[in-house]
Amino acid sequence: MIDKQDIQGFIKQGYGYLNYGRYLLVKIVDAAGFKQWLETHIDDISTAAQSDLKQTFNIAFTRSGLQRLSLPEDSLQSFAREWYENMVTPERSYRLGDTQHNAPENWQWGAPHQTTIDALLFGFFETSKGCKAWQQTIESFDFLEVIEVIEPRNLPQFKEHFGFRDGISQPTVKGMHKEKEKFNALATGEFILGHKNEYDEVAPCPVVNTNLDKHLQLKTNRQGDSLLGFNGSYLVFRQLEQDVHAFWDYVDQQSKDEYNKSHPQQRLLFASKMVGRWPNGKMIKPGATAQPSTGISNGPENQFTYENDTAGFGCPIGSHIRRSNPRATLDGQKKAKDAIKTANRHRILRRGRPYGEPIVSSMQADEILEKGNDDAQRGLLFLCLNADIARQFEFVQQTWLNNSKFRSLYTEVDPIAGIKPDAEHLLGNHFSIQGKPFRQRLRQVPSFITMKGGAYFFLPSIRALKFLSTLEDEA
Amino acid sequence: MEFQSPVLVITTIKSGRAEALTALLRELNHALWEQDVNPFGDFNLQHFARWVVINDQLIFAAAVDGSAEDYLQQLARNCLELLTPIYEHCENFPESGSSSTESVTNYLITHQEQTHMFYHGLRNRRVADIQLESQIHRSIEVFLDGNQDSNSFRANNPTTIVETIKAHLKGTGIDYDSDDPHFHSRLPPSIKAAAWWRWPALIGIVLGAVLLVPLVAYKEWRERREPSEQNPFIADSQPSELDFEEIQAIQSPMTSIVTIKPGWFRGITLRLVLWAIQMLADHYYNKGRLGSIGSIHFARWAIINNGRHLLFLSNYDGSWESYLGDFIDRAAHGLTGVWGNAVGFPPSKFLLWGGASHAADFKAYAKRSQVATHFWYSAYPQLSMPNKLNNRSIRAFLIDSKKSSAKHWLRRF
Ligand code: HEM
Repeated sequence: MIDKQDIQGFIKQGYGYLNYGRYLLVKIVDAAGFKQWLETHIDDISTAAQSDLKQTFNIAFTRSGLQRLSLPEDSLQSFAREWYENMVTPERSYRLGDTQHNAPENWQWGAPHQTTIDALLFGFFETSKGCKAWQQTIESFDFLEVIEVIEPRNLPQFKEHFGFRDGISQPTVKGMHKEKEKFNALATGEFILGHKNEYDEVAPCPVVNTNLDKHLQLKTNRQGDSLLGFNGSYLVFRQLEQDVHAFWDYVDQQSKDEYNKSHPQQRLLFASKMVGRWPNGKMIKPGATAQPSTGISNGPENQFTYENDTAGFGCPIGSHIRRSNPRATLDGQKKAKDAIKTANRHRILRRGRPYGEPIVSSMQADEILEKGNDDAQRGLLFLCLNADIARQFEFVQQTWLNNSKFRSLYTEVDPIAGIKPDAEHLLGNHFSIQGKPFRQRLRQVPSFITMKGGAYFFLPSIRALKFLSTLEDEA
Repeated sequence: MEFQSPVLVITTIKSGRAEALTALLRELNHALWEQDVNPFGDFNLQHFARWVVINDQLIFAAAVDGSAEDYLQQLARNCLELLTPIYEHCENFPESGSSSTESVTNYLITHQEQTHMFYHGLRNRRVADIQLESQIHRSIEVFLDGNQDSNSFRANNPTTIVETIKAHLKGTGIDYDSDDPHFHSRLPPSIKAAAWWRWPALIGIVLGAVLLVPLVAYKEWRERREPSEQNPFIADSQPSELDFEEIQAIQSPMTSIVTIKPGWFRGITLRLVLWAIQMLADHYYNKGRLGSIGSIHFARWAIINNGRHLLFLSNYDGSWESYLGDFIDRAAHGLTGVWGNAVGFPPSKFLLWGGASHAADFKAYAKRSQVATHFWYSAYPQLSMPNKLNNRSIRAFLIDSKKSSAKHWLRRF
């Protein structure tokens, strides 16, 4: 059993029922002051043992943050290389697709030419008042400087800005969550450090010299090091701006009929094929041309593994959800069980929320198109948790979403979240909708999202936070 | 005769020249990938080729059509201007002025080394075939794009659609349906002829393993008490340089070199395991997959430097992370059987267990054993292994429509 009191609550849940929230990206200007504050407020940090909270508070650090708290270099180096280097290095930018219009030069935060981010303080609230008050408290501290305030916004029916229901498919963590779908139940160590993962191994966990752990807060390993990472996780944060009008405009153009007239039914079908689900979250059945209705007891579905749709006639092979989790139809595995096992070594626990006002409140395509482009900023605050950034988040982004050769495809990346090569690029960028008697291919799909900022954080356990707050300052 | 062969030429670099040679290779590589300057020009018998400087050695490795000797001869004949400035940095290369096609051919041939295990993803396709098949595929895709939105076109039955596609291809002048003797046999005659003894051979492997395993287990037990050594080759390649190699993402090279554990025993075990894997690759995994891994174009192991080092070269699709993940998920036993004989590998048990299945340790080991590939060439950088296989099937049906049904064939696009 895992000690839920030692685990930050954000690993267990995204607190979607709390409508207001803030992500505060901060710089620690006075480490001693910060530690003192942290030490006295450890009990305010939301844990996985609590439920039905009306207000939450969680905290995560970058390398520079832990450096500022005087964590020695040898300990910092025992963390994952991705976290140590953080999201922006030239190689990583290529790997993640953070190039051209997504390049760090154009980010609003997190790029090397901007103020270094030490920590992420974030909370969710029942009321807007509570939320503002909390933000003001943090901003009033003189031991830190708030660099960026990011405000998430829940959209109606759990939708994201393109108008599709989000937050449906999610792995459940053994020992933490009740199992929902069998194929979605993952080993604890995939998301919480220091536990057995899907390889049935305990992966390397960040450590610190035991001598520094004066109050013996931390568990030790057989070599006698203190496990600083135990019960912690890595938190990936990427702010992805969405161009909602461009998305629907493109799909509208592609679905026009022979007389160049918009064809709303075909338009909705194409857009849904790109996502891989209907806007209401229902799966797309082979041959379906219109969205099935949902009742209350009959919401989105998630029991499918694509075994009944291997050819992609319902949910296309290259659609967003089939790329981001191929389930039982990952290439090369004959048995569904084996395919799922392989796919499950690359799962992430998504904790994203939208930001910005919806382009129109109905989020219906015809109204969006009528309204035109409004230049307002909106998008997805993509957050996810994982224990191995390279094998989980980066893998999904690079090998599944941004890979133009995903499975046996030729020239296409993820139509929703993929980073598209430039127009003159050899491979162009299409999207194949498998069908009878042969596919339909949407051509030259443009980019609908732009990267605006990002960083890798470490979300420590409660005990690790206590340790950090009592860590002696460097002389 | 083999359709494809591994070429491996290892030469010694003159003292003090390694740096200049590395720079030259990097320059050629940059020109190839960034400026589209192909140093081989029209000479296209190589599927993949690489030059790698490791300490004082220059390694040239290529997967080529035809035999290695023929290839080297043709290479010297066609690419003397490419070879001369490279090999001038090496010992015993014919002096400038006196280097002729013959002397260079001789030089290359005499410096050849054996490849102990060679895997080819798609055995019977020459570079020219693969390129032609890609052209056919692209032409059909464009044709379908033009007709996909026409309801009347889509209403045709599959056979009619196929006929229209053929008519279109005829119009383009692409040679899409002339038969080719290589096409029908998946395997070269030498392997076909040897097929009868694959069962006895397999029994041999099993028996051999039964005898070998207790010995290996004993060795493993002994070795676990000895401190493991570091790989001495991490030399000059910065991790970030290696990272850049795999951002191409469609295909990437991997060059890895490790030290074989000392003593005759490991040498023999390693050769036996490589031989067994070669058998499996020739007789079982000869349809585009090595086990369940379908992302490898060509790969090989070679024992070099008088049995001291084990070289691993591969040309694979996708990211490093996915390649290594495939190894761990799908080929851990085989890799442990091979690399377990090398210094510093995560501890194995009974030859084939443990080792590569320790995911994190194995990846760390693979990273440490990897060196930079200074020059790397691919004849078809835009094609993945599944693309090559699919294109081949597309053409097979055009040559002989009994191979598939029109309905299923249309799903290949
Ligand atoms: C603005 C960009 C994005 C939008 C609009 C978007 C939207 C969606 C939607 C509508 C779903 C289906 C609902 C669900 O199953 O929860 C979904 C699923 C998913 N998305 Fe995204 N997404 C975006 C970016 C990303 C990125 C960058 C990643 C990963 C690197 C990602 C990973 C996933 C995963 C893993 C699933 C669940 C797949 C499954 O298990 O079936 N998404 N996304």
